[in-house]
Amino acid sequence: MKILAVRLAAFRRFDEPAAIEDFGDGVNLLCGPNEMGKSTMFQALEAAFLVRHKVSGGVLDGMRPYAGGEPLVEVDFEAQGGRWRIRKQFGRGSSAVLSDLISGGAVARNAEAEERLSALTGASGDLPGSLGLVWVRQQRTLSPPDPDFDHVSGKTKARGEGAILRDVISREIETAAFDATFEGVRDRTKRALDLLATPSRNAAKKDGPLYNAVKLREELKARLDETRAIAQAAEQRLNQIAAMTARLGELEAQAQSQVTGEGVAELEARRAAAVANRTERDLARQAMLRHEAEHAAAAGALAARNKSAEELAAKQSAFAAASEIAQRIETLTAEIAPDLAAARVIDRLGELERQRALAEAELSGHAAHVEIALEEGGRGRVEVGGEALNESRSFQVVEPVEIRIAGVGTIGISTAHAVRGAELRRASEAAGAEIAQVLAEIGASSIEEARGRSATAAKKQVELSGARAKLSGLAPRGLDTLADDIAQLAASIAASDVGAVSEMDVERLRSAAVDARLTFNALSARAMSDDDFRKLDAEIAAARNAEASRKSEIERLRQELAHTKGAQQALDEEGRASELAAHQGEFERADAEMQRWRHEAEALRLLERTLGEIEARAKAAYSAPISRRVARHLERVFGVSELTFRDDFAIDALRRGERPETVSVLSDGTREQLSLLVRLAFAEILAESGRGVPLVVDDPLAYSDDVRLAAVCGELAAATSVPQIIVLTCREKAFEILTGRRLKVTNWRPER
Amino acid sequence: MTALKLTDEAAKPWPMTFRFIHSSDWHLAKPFRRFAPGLAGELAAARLGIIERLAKIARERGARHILVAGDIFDSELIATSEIRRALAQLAEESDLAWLLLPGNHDPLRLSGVWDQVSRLGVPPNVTVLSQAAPLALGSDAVLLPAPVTSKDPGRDITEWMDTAATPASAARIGLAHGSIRGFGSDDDASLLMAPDRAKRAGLQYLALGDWHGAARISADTWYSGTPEPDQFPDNEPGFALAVTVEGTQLAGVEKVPAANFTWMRLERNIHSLADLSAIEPDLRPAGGTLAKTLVRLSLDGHLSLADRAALDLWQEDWSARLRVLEIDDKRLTITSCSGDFESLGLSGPLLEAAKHLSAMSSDPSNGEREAAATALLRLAGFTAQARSEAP
Repeated sequence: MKILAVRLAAFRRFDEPAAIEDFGDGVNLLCGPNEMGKSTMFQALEAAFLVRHKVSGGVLDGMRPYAGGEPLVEVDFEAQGGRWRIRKQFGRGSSAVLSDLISGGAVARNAEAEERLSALTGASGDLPGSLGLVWVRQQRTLSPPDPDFDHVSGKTKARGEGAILRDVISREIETAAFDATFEGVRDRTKRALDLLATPSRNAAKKDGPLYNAVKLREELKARLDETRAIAQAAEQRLNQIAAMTARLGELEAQAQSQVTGEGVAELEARRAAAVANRTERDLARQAMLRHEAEHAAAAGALAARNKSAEELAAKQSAFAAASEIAQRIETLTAEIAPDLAAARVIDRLGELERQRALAEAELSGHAAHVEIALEEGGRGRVEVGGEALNESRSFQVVEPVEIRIAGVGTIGISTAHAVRGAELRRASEAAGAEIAQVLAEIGASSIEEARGRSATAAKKQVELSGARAKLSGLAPRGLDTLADDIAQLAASIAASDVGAVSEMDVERLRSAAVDARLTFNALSARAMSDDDFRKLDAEIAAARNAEASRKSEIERLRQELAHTKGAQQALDEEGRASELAAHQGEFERADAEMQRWRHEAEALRLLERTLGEIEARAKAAYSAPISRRVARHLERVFGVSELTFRDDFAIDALRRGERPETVSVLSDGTREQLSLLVRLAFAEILAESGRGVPLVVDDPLAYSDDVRLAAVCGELAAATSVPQIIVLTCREKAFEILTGRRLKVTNWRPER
Repeated sequence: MTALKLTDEAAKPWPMTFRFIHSSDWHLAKPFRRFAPGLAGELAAARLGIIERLAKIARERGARHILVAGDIFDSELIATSEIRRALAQLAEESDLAWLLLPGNHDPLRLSGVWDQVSRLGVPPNVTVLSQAAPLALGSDAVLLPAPVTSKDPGRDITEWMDTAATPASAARIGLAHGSIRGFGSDDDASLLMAPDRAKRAGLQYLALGDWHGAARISADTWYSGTPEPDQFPDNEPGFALAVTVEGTQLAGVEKVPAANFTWMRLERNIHSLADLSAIEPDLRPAGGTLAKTLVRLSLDGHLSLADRAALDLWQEDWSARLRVLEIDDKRLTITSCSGDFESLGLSGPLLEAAKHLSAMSSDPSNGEREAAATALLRLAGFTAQARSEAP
């Protein structure tokens, strides 16, 4: 398709009719200052091809000039081997006329004209289609092409652009056709799945069949669980009733017939027997003690009597001995009495004897020794101191002595100490006289006798002392007392002999005591030990407790049983447990329903995914031809680089060197250049597919430096496959390098 | 005519003829809520209708006693209203003696279902067999019932029959509920009974319940099965047994159809629409009507995509004719055949999608196999719709 001429009247800036009549192949450049109306020309082109003649409202107002009037646009163009004219009158008296310039007649009018027009330009319906891809408004030159994206609403909007691209590219690449049937299947899948799932497909759509099925299933599950719990409780209760009934029967049977050894009564009987046994034992102990005491008493009494008799005998023999000794004492005392005088004087005698001896000795000291030896015939014939001598004699002479010899004469002998001698003689004679007197007093003839008699007295005195001590031992209080004692003792023995126990009695008592002890021992052995007694008491207490607890258990069981039976009956009446099977069935049904919907949703999701994946794969394949074409331009403008596309043909990223760059981070100039080159590639693809349309750009490359501008212009000029490139610019100088036709705006006189 | 014959027989001094109906496993008040509410109601009603139908069968055969070998009620926990309804229905058939034996579903337990029954009042023509003790059935026969007193009695509850004393002239008829070898429900291994109990106990007939199909264990030992099927069977439910005893000799056991609904379970291997048509005659029950027939059809094999789509139409058609048609197609695969796809108008990306899904659905290791099969069906369906709507 190529534009041949554009004419307009009462259109925005152009109050007056104006026209560009000199469009040609290749590059067409309309240069002019700002406000000259270049953008109006662009909009007129859009109005002719893309705006319905019956348009009203803001779009119509936007086309109207400030001065008012009804916009008129007329475009001559070449398409599908023919030459055509579309003339659209907007506003009041709106009309559209499509004329065949070759045959010269109108071929269609109004709506039909617009449909034919769409068909001629390769668009479908009133969607901009390919024109939208390559007609770039002034404000859009910066934005990379974004097929089917509505910049006004910011949303994806089907404008047939992607479809056209896919369509044309599909001729080039080996891939399946995403035709209406595919779209229909995909759409049906989506609609079917939309009923079941949220747009994200991650959850069930609220109030959709799956959602409701899941919800219903959950509700029924909860109800089923509840009913199951109730039924289980009921089942448990039935078991409880059976168990309680059995237990109650057991307890009642126990209560009725005391099992031996377990009942309190039996234990208490045992306890009573044990108590009786112990009492008997205690009595036996008392009897035993009594018997033993009796025996001891009798034995004691017997012993005491025997002892008294022995004592009496002893005392009697003592008395006999004592009496003898007393006799002896008397004898001795009597015997000793005279000798006692001798004893008493013996010392005096001795003294006297000594005194005499002393006097004599002294005398003899003074004496002359006279020895008279008598001869046989002298005897009797010598007299000394008057005393005749009958035998020889020697003596001392202390005092004058006369020795007369009958017959012969008298011889006197005297000493010098005759006075002393005389004293001594007197002293000796006094002592001798006293001795004689004492001896006379005591009846002794001599001192020796006196001495003998004194020694005898001392000897008898010793014997007397011994006898006296012996007597005192035998009868300390005297013989008479002893005799009294004996008499008393004898009397008491005689008295106690009345009713006294005999040996036989004691033996009998002993035997009785032994028997009593044996009885006691036997009973003790039989008697319960204290420990056992305590145990038994504990057993009784336990048995009492058991009995009491059995009673209370019976009571409790009866109550509980009544209560449980009542509860069960109430439940039966209510019938909730009986709903278990019903709820189970309903749950299963809901579960199956949910499974069915879930399966359906899964299947649809899988189908949607499968279709989507196939489409995505295909789309990915689709962008390859564009990338390839763009790459040629990019290489010359930017050096080696690669542009990748998303599957909706929007630019994904630019790769120059290592890292990919998203478009938004590129400079305005680069973005602008990329956008134009991508559109150029689109135009080339369209052209190569035989559905070429003009590339129309309004005020492009505003931010480009001279080098890039030149390079891009070179690409435009070299794009010979594109049937027509129309550049509207205010920068005449800058675009001088762009080779191509320069368009001129001329006056026009529209036909009425 | 019949009366005259009876009089003739009654005139004979010996042997006396004793006839009774042997039934079991009524499972009254089973809710069937797995099905749509309307059908569930009908199925439940059909169970209660057992009483009337058995009564009719009994009268037609001159039987006065109906022995029910357990599982009269579906559960111990049953709404009182359901019990009332059953008792009222039994009382209606007042000329017949109904002898009900507790089974494992309705065991004789304290506060159990039979306590409810006695609380509500047992009709005079109904006997709840709560004792394992001989019970005279008229002058000619003695019944030896073995009530189930617990879900797990842990002993052979029929053992007592061996030593039960009965008059020599009277026929001995045992009545029990439980399993004999392979018969009886799986969960009732605790209710095992000696298979030769009839011989051991000198029974002329041992009437058993628990197994839902009518089954002859030996000449004198039978399961009656349930008179009204309650599930898609793998046995032969839907009968009552009419038993005749001559003196102390078993004279005959007649299987009498008693079901209202027919339940069928079919398994078929199909590879084409023709195979599907071949199933159709099997769907028509011998004695019943299509409208009272419930079918579960398990399909195996493989169909082309087109045939599989046709199967859905076939199912719709037959679902309308039958009371219920459940098709289990989990083991039915769809063959992946390009020609098949193309005949459905699949081309381009749709053909690619179809091949992809078909490959998935025929890969047993693929977790999304079933989803893929359905997705393929939807793809075919949507394609047909889209094409028919396309200009």
